[in-house]
Amino acid sequence: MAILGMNRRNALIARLNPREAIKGVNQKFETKQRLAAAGVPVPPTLALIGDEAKSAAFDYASLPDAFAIKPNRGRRGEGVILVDGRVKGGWRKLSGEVLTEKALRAHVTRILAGELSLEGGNSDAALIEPLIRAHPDFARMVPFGLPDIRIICLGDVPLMAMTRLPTQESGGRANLHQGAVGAAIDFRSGTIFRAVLGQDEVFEHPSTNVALIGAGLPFWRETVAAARRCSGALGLGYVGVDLVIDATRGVQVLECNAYPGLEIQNVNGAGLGSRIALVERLQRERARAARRAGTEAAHSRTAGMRPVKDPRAALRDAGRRIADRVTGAFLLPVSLAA
Amino acid sequence: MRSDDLTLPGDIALQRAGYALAAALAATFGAIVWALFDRSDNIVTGTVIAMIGDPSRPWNLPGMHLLLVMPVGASVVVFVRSVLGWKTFGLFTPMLLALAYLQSGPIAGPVISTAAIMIGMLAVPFLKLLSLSRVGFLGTLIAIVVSALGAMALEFDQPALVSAFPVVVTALIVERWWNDYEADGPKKAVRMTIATLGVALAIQLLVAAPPVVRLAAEVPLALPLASIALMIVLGRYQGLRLSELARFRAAQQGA
Repeated sequence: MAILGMNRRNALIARLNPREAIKGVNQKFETKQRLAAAGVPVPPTLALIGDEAKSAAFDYASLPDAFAIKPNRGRRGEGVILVDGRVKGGWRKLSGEVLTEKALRAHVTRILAGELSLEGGNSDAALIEPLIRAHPDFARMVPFGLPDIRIICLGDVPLMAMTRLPTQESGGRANLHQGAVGAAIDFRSGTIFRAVLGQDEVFEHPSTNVALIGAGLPFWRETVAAARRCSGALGLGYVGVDLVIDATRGVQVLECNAYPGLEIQNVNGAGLGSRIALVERLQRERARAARRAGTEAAHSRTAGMRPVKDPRAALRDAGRRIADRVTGAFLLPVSLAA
Repeated sequence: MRSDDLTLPGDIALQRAGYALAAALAATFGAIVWALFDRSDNIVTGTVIAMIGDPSRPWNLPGMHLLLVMPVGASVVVFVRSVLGWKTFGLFTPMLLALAYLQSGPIAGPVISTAAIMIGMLAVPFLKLLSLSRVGFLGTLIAIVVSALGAMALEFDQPALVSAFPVVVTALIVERWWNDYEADGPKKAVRMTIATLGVALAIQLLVAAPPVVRLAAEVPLALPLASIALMIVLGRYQGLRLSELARFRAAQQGA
């Protein structure tokens, strides 16, 4: 099974991702704390506003010129406001509109009421972070918007990687279904080796005409290293890590997904199924080897036997011992030691 | 870049176009319903009865049969979802819809429930304007669907056409339809509607087929027990779904 289908993916997630861990990644702030504790770079938090009283007491004017405000348990980027400058009476949104402090307070109220959060929530917290700006190496490829990187990991083993590049058509969104370009990344070199727009393979970015194949990504080693730590930090055995490369702060993990999509296979032109099978086989073999070594070590302690390192040498030794002992009538025609 | 602008002018235009299309569809469908079930003596009714028999004839299945074939319908749904990979509204909506069909009759069932769904769908945009809570919304929708079904039964003078069972199912379908329409756009929502109705029709035809009816009458437990075995097998299927063969063609070529 080279391709990983929905059925097998769901079975894999049921086996490897505990319910608690899945719930955990829906909360952005708590996820960030857990990741930071494991040494994963995450965006800093400017403020976490948990209720109306805190919102009333919060000094919004103290916020920097550029920030992002989002619901802590938001879905699909809903309810996110990005501002990148101060204007008279408030801030300037990335879309160009003016965000007054009054409008910002109203937005926080909506977030706190859970209106912009995942279903089943009737209260939430508002998370404010500095605005992330795309690294120049990424920014030169796209017309505008923030490209991100998705790495699928099985435990701490990275399986497949792609970067999602916004286009004019996607409205700056790094979402393949909305028209962003998906570009497969080679793990060893950190360069793009294949790019896909919708169903079609492309070789340059449709909006900027920048050549994509062979383009190198900045901080690739750090990116992979950060992604590899997420699984252990969050307790997810199978995880899709979303990262961005900030122009000043470098690699940042934005989100971890307990149900990562399968479209990455079409982008890479390869299946996840065979890679998962390979990793799991290696893990099983390693576990078996460790078990064997463990039992032999246990034996050597209890029964005074050493683990057999070289079976042929051991056999030769045994043969010599027997040949030494057995003499006369039992002389062997050929020496075992030969 | 993510933005908080969720209602772009294009979205509103799209909604209007979708609404106009849905209204036109519902009107056409209303005409079909009228032609099928109007009892007054006219040439249309006469032709219809001559061609397909009495459209309001019931299935005449024993009450026990409906219960016994439910697992068969469930097996079909499991097969469709995990082997074919077609998306339908809700998990077992097609099965419930098929049971609703069975209560009304081979032609009346699908036609009447589809009419009720369309009426409910046309009501939703207006209900949305009132910004009700979800229970309030669903409750109102149920009442609207009942009014529509009741009006049809009175107009065509056939109380048997309408039973209580399909009403909640219809309201739920209508709600899901609008959610999916808003989230994924008209194309996907229409595709899912067709899949849902198609699977429901297939289940209806399967479980009302004479051999199945005979089997259920002679060995009542055979169908549910066989369905258990079948669903356990299907539930453990981990291979690719039929729809994924097309979806992952690019990945397959490289692999």
